[in-house]
Amino acid sequence: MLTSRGCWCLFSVLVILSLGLLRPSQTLTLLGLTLLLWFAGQWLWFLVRLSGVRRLHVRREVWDDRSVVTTLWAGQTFEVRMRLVAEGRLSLPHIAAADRLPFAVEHIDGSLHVQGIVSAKEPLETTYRIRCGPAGLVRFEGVRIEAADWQGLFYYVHFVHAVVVLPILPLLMPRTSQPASLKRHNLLLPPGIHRFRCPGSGSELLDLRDYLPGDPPRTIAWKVSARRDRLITKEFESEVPVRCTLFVDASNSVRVPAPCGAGPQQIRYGKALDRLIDIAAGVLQANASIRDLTGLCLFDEYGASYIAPARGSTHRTECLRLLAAAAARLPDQPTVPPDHLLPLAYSFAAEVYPELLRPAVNSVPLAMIWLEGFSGYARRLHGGLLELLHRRKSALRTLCWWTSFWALVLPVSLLLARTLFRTRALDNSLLIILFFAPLAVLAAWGGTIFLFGVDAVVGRSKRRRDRWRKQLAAIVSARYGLAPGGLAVLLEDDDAFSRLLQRFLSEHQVPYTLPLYSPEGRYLFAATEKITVLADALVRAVGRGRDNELFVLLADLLELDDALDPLLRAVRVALGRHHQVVLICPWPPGLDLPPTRGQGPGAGDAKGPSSLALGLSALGPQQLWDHVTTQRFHRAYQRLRRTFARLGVAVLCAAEEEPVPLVLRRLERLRSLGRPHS
Amino acid sequence: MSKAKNRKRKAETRSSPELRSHPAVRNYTLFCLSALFLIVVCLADRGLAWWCLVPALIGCLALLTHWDYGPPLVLLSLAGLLGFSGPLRYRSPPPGGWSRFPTASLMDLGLCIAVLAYVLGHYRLLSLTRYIFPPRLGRPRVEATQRRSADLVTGRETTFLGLALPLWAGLAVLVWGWVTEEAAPRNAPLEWWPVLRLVWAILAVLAVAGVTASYLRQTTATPEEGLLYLQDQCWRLMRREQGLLNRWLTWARLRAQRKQRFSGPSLETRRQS
Repeated sequence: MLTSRGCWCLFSVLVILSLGLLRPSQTLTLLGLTLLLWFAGQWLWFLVRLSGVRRLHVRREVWDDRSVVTTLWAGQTFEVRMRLVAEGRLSLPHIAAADRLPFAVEHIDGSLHVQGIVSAKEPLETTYRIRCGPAGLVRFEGVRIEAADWQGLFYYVHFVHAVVVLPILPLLMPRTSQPASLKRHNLLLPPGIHRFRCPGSGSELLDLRDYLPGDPPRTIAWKVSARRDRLITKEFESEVPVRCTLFVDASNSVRVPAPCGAGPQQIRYGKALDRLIDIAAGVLQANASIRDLTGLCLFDEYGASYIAPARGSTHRTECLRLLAAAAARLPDQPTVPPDHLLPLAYSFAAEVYPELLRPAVNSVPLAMIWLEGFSGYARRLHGGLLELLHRRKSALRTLCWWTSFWALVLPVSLLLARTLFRTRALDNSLLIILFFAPLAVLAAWGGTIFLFGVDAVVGRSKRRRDRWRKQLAAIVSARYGLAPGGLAVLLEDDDAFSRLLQRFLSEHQVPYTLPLYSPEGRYLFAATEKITVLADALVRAVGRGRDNELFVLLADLLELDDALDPLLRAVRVALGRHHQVVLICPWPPGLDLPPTRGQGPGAGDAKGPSSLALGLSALGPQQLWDHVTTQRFHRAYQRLRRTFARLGVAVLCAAEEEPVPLVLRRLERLRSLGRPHS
Repeated sequence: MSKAKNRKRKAETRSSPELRSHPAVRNYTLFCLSALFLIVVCLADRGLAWWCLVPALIGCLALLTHWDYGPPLVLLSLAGLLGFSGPLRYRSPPPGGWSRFPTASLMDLGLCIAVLAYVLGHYRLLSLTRYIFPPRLGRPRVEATQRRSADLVTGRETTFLGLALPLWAGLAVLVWGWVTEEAAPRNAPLEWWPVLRLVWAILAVLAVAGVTASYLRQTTATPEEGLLYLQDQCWRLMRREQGLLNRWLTWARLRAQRKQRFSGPSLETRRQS
């Protein structure tokens, strides 16, 4: 609360007063007293007015060009109007308010900061414009308040929480060749209804056949019957809607950032899921514009949520909201060491929850920092001996106490025993114990003090990490209902703490990166369970569906060749029921696109093995890593393509511009006159 | 390289010429200069000869450079001048105690007002030209948003400042009078009795203010803060026992995981399959 300016001022005042009293000098004493009274008065006045700072309210509105909105659109610009309102009649100290910009938006112009004195009649206001990023959620946390007196001697930080979560829906791009959504001629079918060459109750003639008993008399073709001299019945075409179901992969593997590359695409598509959602939104919009029915199934490793194909703006908005919610999810991996997330989580908490990090409510005892270590059984210790020493300080202390205890107990028991049994062996033992026990105690305590000293000298960053961990563990424990015992659990259990930290960051929409590979070199996000979930969802959709449907699988199946069998079986079921299936595979942003059909997987390396080896040897470690990763992904893509090509299923790469037109072409084929698998 | 960077940073934190010519900044500068002049007059009246110019020179230099340490240096120089102007040896209070000192003269009062005016004015000037909110940790560069906007300075503020100066000085005289007027109890050291009273009074005020502040903070605490406080108290009481238990539980869990990984699927999984 006292700034460095205030500290120096107080120090000078105290020096004057002390000198005045000790010398003694009435002038100096009076001067010191005047300054001290003024300083104390300022402090008290500041303290009294602080209660008003803690009662400030924030009102925030997000405007588009016309009115207040509750839904945002990806890539669009909006205006945010923030107003800070005070309660009560007491005037507040000088205040600077800074609206916290969410991570999902970009600041364009206008000021996020505003300063002045807030009162009930005169609120502080600011207006700024933002541009939304990709689909997801925007979370406005609130306003950071800094209060100070006019002299800058006292300072207080507060955060006014005013959480507003708004969905960013994927942008609906207008298509270049938009099909007619209005019925212009009576010959055409209404929008959303398509001719299907299968006997039905449509209006177009499909065929003529002999009359069968039970056929309605009105379908008899009288003229033809008269010519052929037997009853002939007219068969009409079916008029059916075309259904398309999108299966969008929302598993961990598409929620992690790209493994390599940093091109301009990576800024737009931070993760593979963003591109999938754009494709899904494009198909959804194209279908909605011609009133076709579109369904949506979001799946991950744990389960699937399904929306049956339907049309209408309510259905479309619901689908878009689901897509936005899926896009907002961040990856989670419980086996990641918490140290990886601690700096980010702590800096975020320090900004948004300064009141929960104050020593009065979230203290860090000095003994804990200097004498005790926690998280004694980490999954993996990075940092070797020093880290081990830092974490097992309590074991050292215990060792010392036990050594001291036995050094006291052993001689006493031997002495007692000697009073009962006077043997030579006992005497010798007593002599040895009496000699070595103090030495052992001395060595144990000396060694421990030395090791503690070593840790004190080299463990500054570890102590800081411990402080962060304790304070964050306290916050997440209280936040997620683990209190009062949760704090101690989180200090020891790395996995539980890491999981809660990820949840904390994910809830606040703070983007974080996780290591992609375990220390053993395994890819951490290849979830094979999602294949079973997807296969089940596909079979269920086939069971519910009718004829003439298109199933678009937007799923990351790269490098999951061994686990594809359930999905292949489900795809066969779908194809057997005369449906169409398309697989669109997300591609890591920034990675080179896979070669097209004319080129093989090694088309670029056709110069021969020796020149390739020479080229590789000239690369640096990072480029070599990128090259290897790219080649690995290309091979996996080709394998996937071959596997599905055997079933007649097209596989596309989501990074290309092709997917949306291809899906629409498939739908056009379904809409056209023939049955595709006839 | 780092020195050049530091110089650049310092230059960036210096106030711009437009800010220096702002009426509010100009007024506060003039106010401080007047206070320094009054200090010189009061010190000269005490017969300090050319030494009376030292605090004023330091103050002027700090005003020109908008130096953060200006007021403490002026105060310390004043302490040095007034405290050590005589012979450098301990002087006991006059016989009969502090009450035998003559009452505060007009010049003493003037000096108190002038010094307070300078300190107040200089700090407010620094808030306008340097920063009012301290720079954040790890960010040595002061941003413009950390300054108080000079446009926010009103005439009312200056008026209150002018009224506050004699008020604080008068209050100090009253307090000092209250401290020195009461007779010391029997057997108490006569010369140190007022000092003891003053120190205890300051400590009592500090304690009361601290308790009040703590109470106010607790009454305005949010439920999250309350829960965190209770959890913290509970943890502080039992942290060693809880730590020991959880350490072993974690060890057992990790061991079970490791065993499961190396020995294949568990019995439950085998049954399910």
